[in-house]
Amino acid sequence: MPMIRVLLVEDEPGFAERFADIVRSDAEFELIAIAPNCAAARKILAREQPDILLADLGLPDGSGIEIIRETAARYPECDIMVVTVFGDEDHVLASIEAGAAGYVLKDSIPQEFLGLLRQLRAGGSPITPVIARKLLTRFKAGALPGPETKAVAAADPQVGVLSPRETEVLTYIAKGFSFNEIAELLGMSAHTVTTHVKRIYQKLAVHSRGEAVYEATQMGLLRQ
Amino acid sequence: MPDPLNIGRALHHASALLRVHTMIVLAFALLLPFATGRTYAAPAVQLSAESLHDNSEVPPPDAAAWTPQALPDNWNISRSGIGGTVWYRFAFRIADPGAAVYAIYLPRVSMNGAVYVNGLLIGSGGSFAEPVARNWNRPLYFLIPPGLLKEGVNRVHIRVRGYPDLDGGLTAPMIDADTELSAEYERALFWRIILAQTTSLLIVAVGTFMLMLWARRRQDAAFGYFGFASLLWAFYTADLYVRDIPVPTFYWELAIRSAFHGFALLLALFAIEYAAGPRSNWRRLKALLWAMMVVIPVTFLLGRPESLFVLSNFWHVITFSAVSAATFAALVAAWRRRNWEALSLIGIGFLTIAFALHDVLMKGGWIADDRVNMLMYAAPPLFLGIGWLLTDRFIRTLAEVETLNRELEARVAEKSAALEANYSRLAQAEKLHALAEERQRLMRDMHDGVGGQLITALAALEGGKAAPADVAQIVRECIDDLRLVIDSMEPIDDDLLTLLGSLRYRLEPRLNVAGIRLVWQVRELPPLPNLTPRNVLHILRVLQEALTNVLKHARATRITVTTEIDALTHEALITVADDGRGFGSEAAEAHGRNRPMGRGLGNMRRRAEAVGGSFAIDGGPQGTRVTLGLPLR
Repeated sequence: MPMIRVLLVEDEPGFAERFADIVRSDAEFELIAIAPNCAAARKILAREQPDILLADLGLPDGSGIEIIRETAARYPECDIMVVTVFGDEDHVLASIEAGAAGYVLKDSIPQEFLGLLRQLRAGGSPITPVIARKLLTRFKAGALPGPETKAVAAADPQVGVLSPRETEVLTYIAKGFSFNEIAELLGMSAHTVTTHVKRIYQKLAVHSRGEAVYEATQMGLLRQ
Repeated sequence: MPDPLNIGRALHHASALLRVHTMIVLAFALLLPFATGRTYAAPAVQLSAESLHDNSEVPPPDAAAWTPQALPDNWNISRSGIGGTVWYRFAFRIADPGAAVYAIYLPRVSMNGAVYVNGLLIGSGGSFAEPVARNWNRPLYFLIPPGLLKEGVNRVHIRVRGYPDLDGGLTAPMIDADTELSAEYERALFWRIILAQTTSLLIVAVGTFMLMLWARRRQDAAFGYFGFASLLWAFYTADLYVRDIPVPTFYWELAIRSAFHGFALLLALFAIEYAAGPRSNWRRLKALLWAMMVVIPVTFLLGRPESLFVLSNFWHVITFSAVSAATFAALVAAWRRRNWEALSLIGIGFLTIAFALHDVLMKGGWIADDRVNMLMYAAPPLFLGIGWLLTDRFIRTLAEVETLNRELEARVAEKSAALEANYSRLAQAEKLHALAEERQRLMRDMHDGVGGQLITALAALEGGKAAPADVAQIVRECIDDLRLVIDSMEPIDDDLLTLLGSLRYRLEPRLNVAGIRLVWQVRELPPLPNLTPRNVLHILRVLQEALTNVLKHARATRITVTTEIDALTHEALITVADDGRGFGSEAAEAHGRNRPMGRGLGNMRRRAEAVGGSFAIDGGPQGTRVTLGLPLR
């Protein structure tokens, strides 16, 4: 079984060292590099395709969100996660829009780290109650801010609007229930819950792309 | 018809005004040629006239007592006090009656006239019976049927019907070829009749407009006076061109004369009102003018036709005096207020008097007759002048209102800007206050949590007694507490469950490593009051403390987190129950008052009280149950 190749983008040596120790303790994972800034990360990403990208957001020469967006575009197969001290939700939400699957706190215990990495590789999307709450608010209020999103929504009616099932799943997550508990409550498999969350993430990405196009049009950056 | 003759006499008596009056006459002499145009130069036929006072309806016989008559014949002078019918006869020669179509033109005949040529009636001004057709201002013009004229001597008879002392009479008729004479007639017709009709219409229009203004603004009495004066004047001047009247001559004369006096008095009232303003002090004068307006027609009515002439003369003097007094009062008032507009208006008034004077002099025989009634042409300058001034005042008032509106708008804008500035200052102050409060809260929170824990860690490290695991534990608690502070500031739409979930999400991996299973039995909670960041932080700290206590001390295998509503106490209950060895018994609490765990329980109770809630802990061998109750209202 091939090892899971992990790339860490992190400028703080303390955490980088701790993370390296944790990853090395498990034979399933291989840490291919630790990039201390955006430039280094880009150099490595031009050369290699990691299975998992872990990125800090505040880097000395830019935002980790750019790296996340670039990687998501270049390697759609790559799973991306944000590492953060506090998990301040606005940044995390922006990362998810850019293509990340969730976040992990830097002080997580080793078991938690390895569990999240495995979950991620197995197709899961770690999602916290606060993020779920924000997503609910966002899809409810937002719904469709402009003609661009409407056009996207017209092409795929599922886009931009959560299905009742997805809303239900998100609501349970927001109330602190785990995937397994939700699966039991809704009479579905845990895998299906995961699928719903992934679908919600995709909708958010399309949703935010539509918003971006709409806003760009408003600002005159794009001609129709 | 009024008799301006007496105005003239009154003027003569009013010696103070003599000089003015002379100047007006001079001014008038200058104006006259414009009004009358060219004079008919040389009649083709010279006439010599004879007259006979005879009520016959056909030309009296030649044998009657005809007497030689000079023309023009003004009955007021030649037949004072006498009315009825007077016949005039003329003889004239024509060399070649077939050379042209001949016409006879009567420039002036009063009240009515009919023309006979060689004994045959060729034209009449209308009815000779009551009410007699009114031709006193109307030129009469008749074509002589071809074949009626003979070569040599021809005879003309003119029947004239008049009233005693009402300007009866006849001016010299003219007989000439129609082509020579008609232009002269048409010019007279235009100046005396058509122009008068046009002027009447114009004045009715102006007056109606002013009355409409007045109807909407009753406080502007000047507009009303002027409007009614205009209508009375229009009626008065109708006498110039109305030939057939619907009532006997006496009543018509009465109405016309009353209209004239009413016009003059209303104009005087207007002058006072306009020059002195609505709050003017000329009460008695105004009352007198109003009284005259009623008294004059009544005296005419009571006086019967016989007294009309005398009464007319009398009232002309009185009205003239009253109007003069009013004009003088207006002049004084206008001068006092330096009201140049009113002064110029009074100037126009003098022009009117000047025009009236001409008629007086003409009727009195002091200047040549056969001219137009000039008073009628005083109307356009007078009414247009007043109309212009009133319209100007109206427009100026509108402009003032507009300016006022603009000023008001500016003032409102200023005020609202000031209000807005005030409001934003308030909002700013509020914001600063909120910021200061938030800063204080954060300081307190840091001091309560992270600060104290870091000091503990520092002390342990410096003392060298601490095991790395203990220090790690302390630092981890620091980070956990910082997270709680951050979570407490998260806007979560009053949904406490999301924050509980957050707590679970973070702590569950540690519980799992410790072999503890977490059972999540939360139920929807209604929105809780007072979920301020500070209170949320208290709640989260209580629950985190409860969970970490289990982790550290209880040796449990399962934790159940429950939320429910207690209908009895009206509380939302959050319960953390474990199946451990019971760290939270009363005994343990009492026993460990000064130990970390006991202190922890005290803190939890204190925090619960701070949010207005309740705290309970009970336990035994089967485990411990910590319950936080939060008020629903």
